[in-house]
Amino acid sequence: MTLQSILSGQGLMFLFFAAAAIASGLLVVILQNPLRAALSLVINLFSVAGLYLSLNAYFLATVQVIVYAGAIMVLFLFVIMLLNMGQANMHTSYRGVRTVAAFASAIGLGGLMSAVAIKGQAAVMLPAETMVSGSTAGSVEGVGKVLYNPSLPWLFAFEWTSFLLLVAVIGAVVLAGKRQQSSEGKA
Amino acid sequence: MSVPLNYYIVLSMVLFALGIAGVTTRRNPILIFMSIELMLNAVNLSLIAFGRYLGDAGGQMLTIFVMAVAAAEVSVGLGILIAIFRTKDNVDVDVLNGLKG
Amino acid sequence: MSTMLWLIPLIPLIGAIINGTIGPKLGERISSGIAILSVIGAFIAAITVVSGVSSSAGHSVESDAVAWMTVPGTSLSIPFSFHVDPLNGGMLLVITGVGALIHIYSASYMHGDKGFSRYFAYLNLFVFFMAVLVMAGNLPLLFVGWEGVGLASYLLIGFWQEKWSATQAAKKAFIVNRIGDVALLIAMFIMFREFKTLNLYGDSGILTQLSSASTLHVQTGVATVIALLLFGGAAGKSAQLPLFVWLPDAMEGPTPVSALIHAATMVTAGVYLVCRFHLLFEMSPLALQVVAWTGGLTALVAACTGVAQWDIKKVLAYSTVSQLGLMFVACGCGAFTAAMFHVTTHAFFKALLFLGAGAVIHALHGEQDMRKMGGLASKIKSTHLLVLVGTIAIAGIPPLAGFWSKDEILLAAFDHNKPVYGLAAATSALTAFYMWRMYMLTFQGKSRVDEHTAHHLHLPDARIVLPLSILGVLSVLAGFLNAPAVGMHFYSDWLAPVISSPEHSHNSGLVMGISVLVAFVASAMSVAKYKNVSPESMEKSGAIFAFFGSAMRIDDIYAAVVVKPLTGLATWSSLSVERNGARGILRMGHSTVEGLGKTVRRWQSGVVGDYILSMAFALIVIISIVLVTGTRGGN
Repeated sequence: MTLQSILSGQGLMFLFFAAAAIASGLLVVILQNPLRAALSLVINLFSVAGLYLSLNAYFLATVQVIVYAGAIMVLFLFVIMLLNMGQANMHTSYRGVRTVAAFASAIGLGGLMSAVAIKGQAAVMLPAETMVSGSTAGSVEGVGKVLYNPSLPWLFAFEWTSFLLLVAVIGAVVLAGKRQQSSEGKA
Repeated sequence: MSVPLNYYIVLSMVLFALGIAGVTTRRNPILIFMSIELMLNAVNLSLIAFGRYLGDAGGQMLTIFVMAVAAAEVSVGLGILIAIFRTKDNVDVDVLNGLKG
Repeated sequence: MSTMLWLIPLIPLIGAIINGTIGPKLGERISSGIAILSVIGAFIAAITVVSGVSSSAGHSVESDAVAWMTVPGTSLSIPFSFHVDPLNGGMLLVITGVGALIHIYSASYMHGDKGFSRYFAYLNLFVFFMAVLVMAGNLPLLFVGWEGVGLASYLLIGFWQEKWSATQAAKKAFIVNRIGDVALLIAMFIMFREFKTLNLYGDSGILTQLSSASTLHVQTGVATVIALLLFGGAAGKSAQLPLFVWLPDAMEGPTPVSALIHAATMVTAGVYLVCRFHLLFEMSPLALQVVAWTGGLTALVAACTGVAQWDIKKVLAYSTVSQLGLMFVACGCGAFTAAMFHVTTHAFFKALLFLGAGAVIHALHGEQDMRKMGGLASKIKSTHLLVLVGTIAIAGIPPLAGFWSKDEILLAAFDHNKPVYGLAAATSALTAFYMWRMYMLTFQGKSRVDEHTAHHLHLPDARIVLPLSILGVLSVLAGFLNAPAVGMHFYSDWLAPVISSPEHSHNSGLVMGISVLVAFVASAMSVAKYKNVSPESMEKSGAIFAFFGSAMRIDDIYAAVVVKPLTGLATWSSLSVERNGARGILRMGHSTVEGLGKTVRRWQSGVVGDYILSMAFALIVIISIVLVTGTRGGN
């Protein structure tokens, strides 16, 4: 990567959001307080949304913010507060001696996979002209045209995804719903 | 296109490794969940980057599905969590060793 | 006609299958009805076949041969084929006829038993196998029948499975028979080597080869070996020394079974086998000597034992062994006609005696000890009368059946083998003695039956009296089938196509006189001795009495010589080989697996985080391998 490319629009965006994503991701892993960790994850999700933008995936960046940072993270925070985890097991949040092994394996795995990615450089660096033309591919229209094209495989999977979500909703209600006997019988 | 694909991939790997570290070190299931979300995001990022550089819209499509599945997973997972919390009064995963052989 | 041949074994087999499968659902009446009708059906078929035998050209009826086993490249071809000639035709009539009578009797005797239909299934199965054995056209098929009747006998001796002694007796019968069967098998092998076929009849059959002496190349030594091995098989099945020990124990089975299998039919299969191969035996004087002496000794030993028994069925059992010994004496003296004739008459009067004893036992609610009988003559009159007929018949008092058939045997022995004649004559005397002893103890004198039983006697019904009466009539009249002294020789004429009639002996008057004298004297002595026997005298018994009572302690000798070393070996191998050897190796295997499992088990901490960590490590290893080997990286 040359200096110009770094200083170009995409390069600056990448540097900024990448740094933010790594920093906030690290915080998610090391922060003791679940609330703060959750807020770090929100920052991380926003950063990744920014990276999506740098890759011309406008629609997905929007979805990332609305669904992930909005809906899902609100659900997380809601449960944290519902279970009153603010202080409860704050100081036992790490898994003792296993932590060392865990970090070692994480670093090893990340490093190894990065090494694979770098080694495969020649194969994935394609000339610019073969890329999807920037303006429409990631837009709502571009995504929609691919997603709802009956001749492509996505439509069928998309319909079934709606069913999956329905099942998940019912499952969540059943699991979290109050059941007097079972809950009190075991407590 | 000035930033090489490798940069996105390495960034994705770093985020993924952070997610693994979180999943394996945390004892609080909520935080394990959030680490899993981190890993999913890392994968999404690599998918979109690959799609962009290979000129294939499939990367973005897959990302949409991953998000949908993540949403489903979170709703069910948190439901399970509430159920466990209600019966056990403890959500430390090191104590929940019902799989012990 | 040949289809009729198939019907004889098939009808009882069908009866056995019906009773063995759905029998218990049918109820006693239908179950026993099927069994009885199937044997009567077989009897009718047998009559049809046998009447065809006499009118047919070769004095034999042959069935079609249905392919069973063929070994390509050799002369070994074994079909399912049946053959009836005068020799086995007579056997067939006895088997199915007496069998039918005993089936009828059993329907009453076994009334109320919880294994009622099982009993009839076994009994029909026995008739099936016995028919196969007798009619078989080749040796392997004969062996199937031979083993089949052994199986049926085993099943029926151990019919009351909940009785420990019954199961032991069944096992004993099976194992002792096995020894004889091995001899028979080896005889078969040698015969195949010598005759290149196992078929008995037909142009190249063994018996045909034997009858054409000019073309026969079998050496006398080989013939002796085959004959002795055949006799070994016969000795097992027909309870001769030294294999007779199973028959007295076989009395653990129901009494009709003892009558049918262990007196009238199955045990005579050995005699039949020897007579079937009489041409072979006649080639070997040595084999004939062995047969005669074995038969004579068995007859005498069993007769001595019979004198010292208190169990009414045991008396009859030893009597059967003794009579079988006489039949072999006849065989050994070359009087095969006399042997087969005695088989027939013995079937009648021994079945009669057993069924009569069964009726007595039935009346006394299962009591078999003669010390607790006595004075029954006036209580169960019909049974008493018929048993009396049987006793006279077996004691050899003219003109009943036993006299004529036994006389033929004694005459043959007198002519050919004087020492064996001595044994046989002594046996006759003892037979008369112990049979009258049995009769007197059971029916005469003071009643020793306990009060309760005496007032609740089970009186026999028609199904018991009818077969007894028929057998009684036969016991009286059957002797005249072959009574040369009064000019009747239907039986020897009938058998003539198979067994040449014996030359007329000039000693017949002398022998007959001795026989009559011996029979009367022995009977009179017995009647006099047991006329007013006191209960006290029965309790004390001397050493000689005990020695004879235990059949010369042969069972104890076997226990010491055979059973003890074998069980010792089994115990030793169970303790050392099994426990330390085989089981040690197995234990090594399972302890290895167990140790491994205990080690690996610790991995399963049950904590999900540890599993994920393991996955991460595994991923690192896999990616490292890919990276190092580099099959997919770069270009």
